[in-house]
Amino acid sequence: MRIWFHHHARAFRQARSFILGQPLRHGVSILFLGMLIALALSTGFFWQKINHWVQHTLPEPTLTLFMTDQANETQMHALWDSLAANPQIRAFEYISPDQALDSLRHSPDLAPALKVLNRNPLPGAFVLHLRDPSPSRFNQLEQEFSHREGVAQIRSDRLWAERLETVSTLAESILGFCALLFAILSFLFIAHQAHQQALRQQEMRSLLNLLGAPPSYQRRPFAYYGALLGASAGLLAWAGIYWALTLITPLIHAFGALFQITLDLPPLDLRDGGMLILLSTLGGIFASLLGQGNSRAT
Amino acid sequence: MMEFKEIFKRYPEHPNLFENFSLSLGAGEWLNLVGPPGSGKSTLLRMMSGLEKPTSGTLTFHGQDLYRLRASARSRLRQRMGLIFPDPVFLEGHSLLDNVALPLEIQGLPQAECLTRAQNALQRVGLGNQSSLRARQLSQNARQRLMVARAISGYPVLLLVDDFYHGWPQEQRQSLENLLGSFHQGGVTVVVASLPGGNLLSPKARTLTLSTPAPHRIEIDT
Repeated sequence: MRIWFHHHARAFRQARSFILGQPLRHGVSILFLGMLIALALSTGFFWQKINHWVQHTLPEPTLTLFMTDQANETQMHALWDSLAANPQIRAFEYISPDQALDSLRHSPDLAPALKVLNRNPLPGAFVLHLRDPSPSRFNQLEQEFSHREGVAQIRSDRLWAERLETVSTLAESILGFCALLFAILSFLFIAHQAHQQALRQQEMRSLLNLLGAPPSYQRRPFAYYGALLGASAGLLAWAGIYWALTLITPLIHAFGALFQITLDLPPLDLRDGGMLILLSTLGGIFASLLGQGNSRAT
Repeated sequence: MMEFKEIFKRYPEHPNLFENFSLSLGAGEWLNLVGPPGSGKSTLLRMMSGLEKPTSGTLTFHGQDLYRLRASARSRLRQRMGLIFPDPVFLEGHSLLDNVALPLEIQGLPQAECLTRAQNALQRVGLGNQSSLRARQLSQNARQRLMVARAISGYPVLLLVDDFYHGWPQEQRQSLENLLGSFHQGGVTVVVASLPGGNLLSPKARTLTLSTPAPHRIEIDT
């Protein structure tokens, strides 16, 4: 076991010497890599937040069931109960004809016209808020409630929901593609660095080969090299994101205030930051092993 | 111990370097490989050490087909060989002791034993009192002796020597001859590749003469 540790300690020292041997080159590389990782992470991370904000700032698509004039109490209660029991409905509210008329009376354009009416022509309506406001859910619920007794007409924001979903999918695809691209670039960058390092160490590797060092022994310093690059870049990315959030948080709060909502963009916590460093370290190891493998001494 | 069976080795510039070459090498044997430059002596040594794959044919070492083994298993077999080749390569910034201890460390020996064995090996080639020097500080002659120390430090069962000792002082050459002789007497198989008239060739040993142009006319003189 001590020998195993000794071998790993030697490989680690060798990897460290690769980096310290060319401090400027590796400093710039780690900075670049950190930016790539930060960009990959930010696109994914911000997408989740922006999607959440969009849902809270833009009007939510709803489904409205307009009741007939003849709808009686029994029909209303039956409908109420089935809406309450439906798992696809997050919330619903009933707007009575009087409430609807009251809200119209507050409108300066319509108020004079309403004064001449001798009776309230507006129907009562249930406004449904869906748990999953996707177009298919709208279709499904429309069909489900269109034949219910007492329901005269259904007005659906399906088109609005479709637009929202399309924009959301498009943005998700673009940001996902960017995140993937940045992640692949980071991986390839480490692989290239390891390849260059392996070419520089060609003589050393020939020597190790001559002395009977197994391939695993020869690969090990490169695994540590990739791990060091990945971990340093991951740490830098974490710090970079933290710094960027410190700068933009006041702007985000001001933006949220325009819509009377609280927008928050918390920095990565210890768990997420640890996960970032772990993943970038593992990615660095794999990339480095891949890169050095292409320049193996014969 | 080692057997070449119907070995072919072709290079673009030497399309028939070895053709249907067979040879059997017994344990504890001393084999002289004699031939002019370009006759394939070094290639033969490299094939024996598992560093140069033949174009076709089988080469067995202790009953194992050297080139059908996985790279890691072949490396482990190479740990049992001592290679003394021209143009020595070292860890230039490291001490002589570190350089000689490196193959032992690769073998997984405890560090204290590595250092003891490395110091003994340096002693045997006359570099015992310079063990803390860096490899880059050595003269050409001392570098060659350092390579010998590195090759013998792991108590090899097979010593492959590419003779480059023509320019050595008589005293050191004699010392190396004695060293190789003592290993051979201890049961180690020794293969010495040399130009005709090389100093390290043993007059009592089997001699394999390689000639150019290829394909070789191989003469075995016992």
